[in-house]
Amino acid sequence: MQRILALLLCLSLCDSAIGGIVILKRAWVKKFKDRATIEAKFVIEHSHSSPNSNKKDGDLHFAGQAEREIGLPAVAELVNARKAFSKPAVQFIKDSAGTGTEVDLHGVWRLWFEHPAHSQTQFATFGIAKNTNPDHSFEVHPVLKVGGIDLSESFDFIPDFAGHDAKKAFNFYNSLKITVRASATAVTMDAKKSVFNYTTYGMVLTGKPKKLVDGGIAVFADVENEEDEDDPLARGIRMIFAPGTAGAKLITGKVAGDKFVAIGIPRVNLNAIEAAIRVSGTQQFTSSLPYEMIVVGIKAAE
Amino acid sequence: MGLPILDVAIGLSFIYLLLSLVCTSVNELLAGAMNQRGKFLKLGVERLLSGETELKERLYKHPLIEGTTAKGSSRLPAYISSKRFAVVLLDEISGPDGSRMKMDDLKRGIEGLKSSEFKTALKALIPETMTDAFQAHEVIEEWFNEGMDRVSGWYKRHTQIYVVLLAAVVTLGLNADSLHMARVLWVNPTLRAQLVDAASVRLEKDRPEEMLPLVEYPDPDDPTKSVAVNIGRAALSPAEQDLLTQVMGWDGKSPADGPLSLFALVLGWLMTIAALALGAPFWFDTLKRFMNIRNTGRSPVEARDKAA
Repeated sequence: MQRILALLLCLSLCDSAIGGIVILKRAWVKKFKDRATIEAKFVIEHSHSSPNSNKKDGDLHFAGQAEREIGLPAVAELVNARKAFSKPAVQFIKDSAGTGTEVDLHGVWRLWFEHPAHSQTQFATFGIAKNTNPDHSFEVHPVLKVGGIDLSESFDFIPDFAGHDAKKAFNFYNSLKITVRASATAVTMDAKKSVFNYTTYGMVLTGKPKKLVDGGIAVFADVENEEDEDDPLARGIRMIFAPGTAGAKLITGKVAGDKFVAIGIPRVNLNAIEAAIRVSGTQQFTSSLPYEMIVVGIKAAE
Repeated sequence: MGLPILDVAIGLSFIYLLLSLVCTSVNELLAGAMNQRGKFLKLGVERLLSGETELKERLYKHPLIEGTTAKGSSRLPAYISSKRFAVVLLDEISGPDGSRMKMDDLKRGIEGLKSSEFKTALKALIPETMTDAFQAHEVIEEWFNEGMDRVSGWYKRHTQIYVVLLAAVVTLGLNADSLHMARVLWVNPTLRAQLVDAASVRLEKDRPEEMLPLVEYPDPDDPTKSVAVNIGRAALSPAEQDLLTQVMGWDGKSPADGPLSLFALVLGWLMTIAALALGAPFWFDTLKRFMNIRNTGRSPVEARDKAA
């Protein structure tokens, strides 16, 4: 009897999942787990001819690769691309697209299974993107600087764009799961397609902000639930701020209990993944998908 | 101590919860090992292609599909993106000398299809008037996505059948006879109390099927220092396993010594199978309700003791 039970319980340690698969180098995960941004020499293969309307999200998308720093098919997105200060950058991106030249790109790295391919292995060889939206799980979004043009001002709320409802979006993020398996040099992540890009939410800090290696900032916050203030939509989420942005300046020096309204986009929390694979060894495991929010725009709550 | 009948109900709910957890875990393992998702995906593709068997085989042998599984593996892909499906299907339909980006080649390919049913479906999706090959790709993607939504529904229903079968295997394998378990709990107040205590501990954990966090951050002021939790956790703790062995199992003797007891045994098994089929989340919620009733009805003295 106990043998049967033991067998069943051993089996219960295993799990499986379906969806897009990304295989990252462990060293890369370790390097970027506590950085807000990435700097890369990026070859722009395709660019939108004009930014999305503000009602859609006001982004300008461009696809390409940075074979040394990213090693995956990637899409970069410039936020608030319709604003006047973005015009030189938009022109630069359009002029660079398809030329094959490497341009300096600095922005927030974002691993998210929004447009997943069946399987992509970091630093493998990939073909040239056919359009601005190839299968990809890696983004540089938002862009902080391209071709030396500073875009830190673009980290802000988007005019005429409300973002997704916090309750719907965070309930979705909280429902996501991920299957992870690590080897000595790589980590394989398998997750279903994820949606709800921009979300507007209230947040209450639960700790002090901490400066990250690249000058960005991370701070824990609960996501407010308008219907029940005692039951947050999400607890202890890492909020990530890109260096030099208005948000990073605003959050510096704030303390637990301070309240804000933000618009942000989710990404996989590689700090959590890296901590987990240090313990799991080569054993595969499935858990809730650890995510953190890239804060694009923020203001103090009224 | 609460009402004996309530404690028996708590004990049974707790046992059902533990056995359901085992069933769920084994079911997920079997689904992975048997490549059930891949098989269901193939079935969905077959339905979409309505009788175009040869085309289906070519689709699965296309490098863009075959390349998604490990080299030399006979496993079917468990996932095909709609974009990839559209590219491969239109590539196959346009033929080796044609191009999926040329509408004339696509329309010629559609005319050459063997299955009249599939040909009609494709003609409805890609009418004669359509001139943009990108649009053709988009409608095929949308059509594939709709088909895959149905596949998800089939898969869920299929999984439920498996859960019932597994419930039967676990029930018979462990001789989990509900009537016997209720009797044991009724006459053994010590075991009953142990089960109620263990149930309280279990209720402090997350609800089953709610995914658990990977890490905890012990210092709220340091978002970079994380500690891994919930990795390699067994579904049941050793204490829970021990409790289960006290209320069920085979002891080498015949569990029934007459027609009446055989009837009671079968009835007890069926009750357990039906209970396990309800799933772990159901029993977690039920257990919680029973515990709430028990805690609400506690005498003032007992409540004070517990609080202390």
